[in-house]
Amino acid sequence: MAALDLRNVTVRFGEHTVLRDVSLSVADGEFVVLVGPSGCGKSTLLRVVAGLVRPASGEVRIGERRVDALEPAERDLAMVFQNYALYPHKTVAQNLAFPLELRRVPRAELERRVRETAETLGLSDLLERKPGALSGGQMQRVALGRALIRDPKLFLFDEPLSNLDAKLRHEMRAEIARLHQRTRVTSLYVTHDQSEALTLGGRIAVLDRGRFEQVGAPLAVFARPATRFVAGFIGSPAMNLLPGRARGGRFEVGELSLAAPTDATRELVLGVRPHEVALDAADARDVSLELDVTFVEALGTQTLVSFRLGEHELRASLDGDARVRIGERKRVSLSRSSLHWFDQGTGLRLD
Amino acid sequence: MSARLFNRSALAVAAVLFALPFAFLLVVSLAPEGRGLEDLSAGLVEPHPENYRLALEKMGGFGRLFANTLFVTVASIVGQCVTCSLAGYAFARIPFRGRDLLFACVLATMMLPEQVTAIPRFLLFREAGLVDTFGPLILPTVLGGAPFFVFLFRQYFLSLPIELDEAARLDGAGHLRIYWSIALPLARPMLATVAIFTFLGTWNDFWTPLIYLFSDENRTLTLALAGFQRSFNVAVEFMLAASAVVLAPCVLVYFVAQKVFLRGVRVAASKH
Repeated sequence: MAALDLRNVTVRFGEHTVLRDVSLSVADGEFVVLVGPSGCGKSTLLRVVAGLVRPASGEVRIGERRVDALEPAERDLAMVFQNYALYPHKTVAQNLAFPLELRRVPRAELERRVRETAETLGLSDLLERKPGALSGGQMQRVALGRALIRDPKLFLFDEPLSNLDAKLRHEMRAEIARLHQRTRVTSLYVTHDQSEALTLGGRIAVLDRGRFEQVGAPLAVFARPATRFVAGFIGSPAMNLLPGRARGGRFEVGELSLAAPTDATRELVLGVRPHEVALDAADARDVSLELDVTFVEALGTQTLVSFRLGEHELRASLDGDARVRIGERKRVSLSRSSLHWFDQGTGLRLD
Repeated sequence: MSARLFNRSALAVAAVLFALPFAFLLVVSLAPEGRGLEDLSAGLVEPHPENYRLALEKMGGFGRLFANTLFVTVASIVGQCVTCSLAGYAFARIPFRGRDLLFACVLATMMLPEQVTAIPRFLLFREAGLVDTFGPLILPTVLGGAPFFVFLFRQYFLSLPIELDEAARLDGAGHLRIYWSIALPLARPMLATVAIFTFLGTWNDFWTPLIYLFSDENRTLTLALAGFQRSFNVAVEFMLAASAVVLAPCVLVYFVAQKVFLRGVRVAASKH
């Protein structure tokens, strides 16, 4: 086991800069999730750590060792791929054994470790099957096993669950969390799914266009997004982001007018999470106004209601039994304490 | 429906056109000596299977001819499979300076007719003292002398997910190990295709043995068959009987491996 340290890593593919001067420290035994939209550079960052991509500049350290010049195999890490990357012509047992064979592990020990790993992951009955005869979940289990069996210093996960259906995804998510609880191997996990990031990560690192937007504990990132991008990306349904102008201490967007966080004249973005928008519950701490309902999505446990606010849309997440119809006019209130403010130009949080 | 009918009839006509020479060959090869061409029904009315035995006797040393041909063919197949798959792997998976240019050169050599390189190649092999040995027949295949097969392997390796290579690299495998343990076992269909193409090409090859092989003990089947044509005292019935024997392995292999054969054509056609 070891800590991972990335310092000022920059990666270019031709003219295109994929990662700009990225730094990240992962403590020994920590589970960090890299999350961001597709093309943000998160998989590239993982590949830099794996040694599959050479950075243009910067340092990668695993433990005390600087590894950027080392071959992937010399870095003592294991990676789980989105498409499993199992060797199709080898049986499950041979897939598990391959990394040990390459390290010339003696036959007896190799067989013992294959057996143990298979037991841990519930693969004992499948050892003689080929990957083609396995389900998606089973294949991902084998891929986990192939990573686990080597007892590496570092685990890398590249969107390991995105090829699975929703139910299986939940099961495997729990399995990966359990595995980390047990082994305590330092892990770096890439996903585009923000809910996966929130539930799995000890810390999450939100990436956009090759830069970290915010790194922190999942709930801290959720509660205080550092930028407009993070605010819109983390949390489901997504935060309402309403661009408007602050002038003379008031901020206005559509029919909504409320105290601005600044007296200066400035273009701002107001952020409100849908579950902080309530119906008919105005008290002194709230801002309230009447708005037209434009769309209703009843999801059972919650009802998503869209209101027209000037040229924008304000979405509210209400109780599942909320009775709201399209075209109705409703009194809507926002709690002042739940508002987020961002600068429109830089996207940075104000407070 | 009518389009399908049209396709079927067109295929039927083509099939008959291609099958006709074979039927002719078989019928005449069974006819009594000297009568095959005068009366096509002679071979059917009164078949002479002993034509085959006599033909092989007249050819002289059939066992030796067969062994020579088989040796050259098998050596070419092994050479072709090993070197072309290695080269294809390198072009598909190992990044190096000038790779694409080099690959373009390999492809460009496909456009050179064999006749153009025949003389310089002959001079080369004469310098090396390899004329009248099997060297000139086998060495070019071992040295990756089949750009089309290099291309086939490259296309096939490109179609394998890169994550397999990456996983193997992380597991601790180098290029040679990845080639041997991962890429090659997965390329089995391509190996079969190349083996069959090479088999047909080498077995039927007349031109290369004609240029390089002189001694009787080095002759191949196709050379011996041509020798038949030049000797005026051999009747056409025997010649065709011998041809049928020489041809038989190819027809057999083709029918057994038809699917593999077509797959090779498809892979070559589908990518780029």
